[in-house]
Amino acid sequence: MPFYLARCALQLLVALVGIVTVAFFLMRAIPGDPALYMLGDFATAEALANLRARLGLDQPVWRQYLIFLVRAAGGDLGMSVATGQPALAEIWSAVPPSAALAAAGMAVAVLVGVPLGIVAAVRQGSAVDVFVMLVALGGISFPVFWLGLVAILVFSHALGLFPVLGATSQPGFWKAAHHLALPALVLGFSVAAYIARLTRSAMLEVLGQDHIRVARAMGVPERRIVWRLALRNALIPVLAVIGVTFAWSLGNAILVETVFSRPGLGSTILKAVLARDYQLVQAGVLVLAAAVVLLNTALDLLYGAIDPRLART
Amino acid sequence: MSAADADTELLEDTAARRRATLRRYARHPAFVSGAIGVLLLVLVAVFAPWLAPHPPTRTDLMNTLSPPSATYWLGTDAFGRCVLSRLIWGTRISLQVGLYVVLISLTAGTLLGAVAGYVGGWLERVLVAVIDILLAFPSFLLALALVAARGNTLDSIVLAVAIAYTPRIAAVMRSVVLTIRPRPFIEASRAIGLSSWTILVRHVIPNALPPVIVVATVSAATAILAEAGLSFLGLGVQPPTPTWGNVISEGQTAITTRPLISLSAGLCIAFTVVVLNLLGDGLRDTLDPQMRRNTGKLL
Amino acid sequence: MDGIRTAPGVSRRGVIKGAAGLALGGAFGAPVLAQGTRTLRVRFGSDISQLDPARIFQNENQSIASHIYSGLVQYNQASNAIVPDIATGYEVSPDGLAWTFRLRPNVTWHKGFGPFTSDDVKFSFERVLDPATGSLYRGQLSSLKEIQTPDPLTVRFVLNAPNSGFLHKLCAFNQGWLVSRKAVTELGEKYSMNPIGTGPFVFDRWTTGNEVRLTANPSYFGGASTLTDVIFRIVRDETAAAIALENRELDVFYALQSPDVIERLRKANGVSLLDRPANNTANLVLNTTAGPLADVRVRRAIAHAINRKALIDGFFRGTKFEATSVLTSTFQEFSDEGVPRYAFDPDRARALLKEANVSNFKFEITTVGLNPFDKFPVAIANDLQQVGIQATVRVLERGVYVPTRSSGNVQSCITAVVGPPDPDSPLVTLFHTRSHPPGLNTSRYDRADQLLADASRAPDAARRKEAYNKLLRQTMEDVPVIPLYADRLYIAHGPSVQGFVQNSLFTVNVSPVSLRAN
Repeated sequence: MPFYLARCALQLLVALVGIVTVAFFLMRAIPGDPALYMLGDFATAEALANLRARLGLDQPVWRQYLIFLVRAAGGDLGMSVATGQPALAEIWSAVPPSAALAAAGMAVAVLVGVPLGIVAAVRQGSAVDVFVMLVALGGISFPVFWLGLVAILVFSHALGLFPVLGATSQPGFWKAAHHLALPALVLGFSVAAYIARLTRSAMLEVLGQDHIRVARAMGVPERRIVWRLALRNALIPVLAVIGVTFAWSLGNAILVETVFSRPGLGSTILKAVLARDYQLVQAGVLVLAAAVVLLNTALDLLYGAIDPRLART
Repeated sequence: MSAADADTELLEDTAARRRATLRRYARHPAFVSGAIGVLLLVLVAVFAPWLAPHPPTRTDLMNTLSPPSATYWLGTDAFGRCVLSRLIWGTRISLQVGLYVVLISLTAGTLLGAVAGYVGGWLERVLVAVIDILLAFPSFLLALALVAARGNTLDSIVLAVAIAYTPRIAAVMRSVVLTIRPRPFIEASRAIGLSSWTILVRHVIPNALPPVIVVATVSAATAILAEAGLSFLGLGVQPPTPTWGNVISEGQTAITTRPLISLSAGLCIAFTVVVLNLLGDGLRDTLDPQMRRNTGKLL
Repeated sequence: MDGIRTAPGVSRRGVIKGAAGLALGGAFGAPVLAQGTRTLRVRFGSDISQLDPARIFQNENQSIASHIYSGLVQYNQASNAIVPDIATGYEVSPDGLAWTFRLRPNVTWHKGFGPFTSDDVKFSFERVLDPATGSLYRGQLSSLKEIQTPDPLTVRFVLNAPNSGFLHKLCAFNQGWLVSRKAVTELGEKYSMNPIGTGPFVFDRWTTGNEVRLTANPSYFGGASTLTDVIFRIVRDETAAAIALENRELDVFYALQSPDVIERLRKANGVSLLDRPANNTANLVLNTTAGPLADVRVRRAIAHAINRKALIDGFFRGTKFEATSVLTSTFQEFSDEGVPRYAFDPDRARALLKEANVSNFKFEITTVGLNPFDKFPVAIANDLQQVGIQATVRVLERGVYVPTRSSGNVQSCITAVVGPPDPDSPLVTLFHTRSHPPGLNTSRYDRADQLLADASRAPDAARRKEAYNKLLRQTMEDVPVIPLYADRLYIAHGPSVQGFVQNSLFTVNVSPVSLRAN
């Protein structure tokens, strides 16, 4: 086990360095002078020079990279051009509402998607299977922002059940939950569809395996087979599915935040993109990738706990 | 092995074998419906100038946001432009995005993934690490950042989405190549002295293509959804060019009085994604019966 | 879907919502004002960016600033009459060159930045005049020669020529907002997002892209507000904001533009819809140094090509007014006698273009990504294409639009000069040479300076009107700026809002508002 832990830690470190590297090259995607891009034609020569010095643009690329890496390790991801505040601080303050949405959304997605996928797999080919798969197909086919608009139309406008603004600054847990509900349901539904399909595939694969067939042949009751044998073996691919889905759902979250005017990383990054505040964009993308990597590392550790075979390698 | 596969194996005659294969395709509901749907979309895109009842950018300011009528079958938008015509022309952009993104990401991802799966040693580990790191970035956000850097012309959007979604194809390609690498005929090729590159290009990749083609159809669908998302955020192809994402976004303010505008555009996107997924599922099942057994026949 | 009622005063939504509320156990009931906090929630359409009065621009910034800062005098929100603010009175010398103001004693700056004195007044205006500040309003103070501070509660402005409209320049708007020398010097670069004023509200925090929070100033010299704080929430989509207003998630809906949403709120239960004509027009500013645009015939052709009536009646559904010049009828000095008009006449436009020997003219309209400025240029481009001009629209987000426009390198752009009922505000900003880029005179027009000076020296109202009329006639003949429509301001608020007054300044000010518990 300790070997496994060490390996996970090492992978995490490599991944984090890799993420910082990719984020570094993101800035290089800007054609021309990044300082001019960010500050605009009318920037004073002094402001441009300051930003260029800060970005280290006149130095050789490898040197710029090292500076960036060292600064990132210390938590310095540059300054937001619009507010003059440190980029990381600004991103960090947008994390709590996004985390709440992501957590609520994933909770909905897992609680809805996994059972549906299992049921569909167990009753493969039946009407239930077809129905679940059609609904899932709908969930992944409609753009999530479209689902959000429909949800607003039905639940906020027509029925008045949920608020249209995805967040409120007024105090109270239940108030906040009420405002979070619709965005979380919309995000959750779109991710649930994805999870349901993948879970179904994973379960089918497990159910088709030899030891399941043997158990059936030996007369073990179906329910025991599903819940005790198949599910535990399917758990790892299902967790893998969740890990993979998380990165994807962050992309959807930005769209949901926009539709519901909800604060968070989505609206912060979007505003930064529109305002050409590229240091902030970089920081945001970096933080999100780091979150994905951390989640996946946590999942890896979980696999190690669940499946001792992995821990031994 | 089902009877159909047995037939195919036994037939010596190429023509008869081809006919049997076609019959196998034709019997698969997902493939047929997917193929028909995609064909329909292509036809609409190609014949848009003739199919659309009005020019998509012609404004009619005295008829803004009007309900469906004889002249405007789906009504008009805030500028009095015919929604149906805009949706028809929007098919072009969506399919173009889907096609180009798939071409670029398929080429790049296949090469990257195949090399990562085949070559072994330190190069493989480096490539795997690179792919994994790229996969950690939410693809949509990566596309967003790239579009932000390079502007929102159709070209740069295609490139941004392609780059953002290449890692996934590379990962799939790699895992497929990993299953092909230990196969006997690869061993044999190596034994007779073929270079790695030749083996890769002439034997590994062609055998790895079927699942990757499936992934390609899904990628096209994802690319179309990504473009719609970018348009919705205001970062897609600029107005007045009609795209489905633009139409949804423009219809947002009228969502309570004229929901049809945004709803119909959303349905277009959903239809496209569904038929592409059906086509992909159909291809997966018919190209490789092995896969069909494991992953379930329906969807 | 909406508007269907089960009984007078009872909407279907209300019934369902009530039932759902019961079903959900009352935990999710309608918002109730918590004991002790009275928070007013105002909708913004886009984010703030700059709260330094010398550089301030855009109505959201100005709205926030109007709560934080005071001026020597201010506009009465309802009547636009100029009334005292932080000054208790003033005298003008017989020759009209010296204006002496008496200041209110015992006023302190927010957040402990010390007492307010005449030195702060001097500092505020000198900094606007200082080229190093890069203020957009330098041109407004061109008649000011020097500022004297005989004692801490008296300030005297000495002009180099009598200016009948001088009081407008000191009004609590843009350059008229007073800043603290101590705060500006200490905070430096950080000042623009950490404003310090003497107004009824104190700046608390800004969550970028999301909301701004102001808290009430308990020691405000005009009497503390009954509100504890005000939250300005950014909701881009107007329909979502309308639903939020109806659901009581918001109290005041500012920047209401969309004709359908206006109609919807007009009919909505419990919502008050206010409207009044604005002091501004939306204009297409043509760069007279850019290629074919140097020829007045081309500019006139563009004016004839645009179907402004269809824009106002069709696209805007009558929620805007026709504009014959950059001044609107809300200005006392307005008179459109003899001002050339450009009726919608595509044939005439084509003829003018032919006369000017212009073909294959690639014309780009640069506009800002704000409703409706990112929308109606599409219709304009369409009109221009009908007469053979290859018109395209480039939409830039605000943060990028402002510096791009300030560079002066755009062929044409959309500019609306919002603000006080001072005719110099739009006219100096759009036509004076002092407003050349980086100012907003991106047409680089240079033939108005003398007329503007004459107008400001006019001794009485009648001659002022005449002088400004002369200016309007000339600017519409040369037509470097095409006025597209005269704006109309719509604001809606919920039933718990009392005492709200809508101004014509294009800003929202909730200082006099109190909240009534539901």
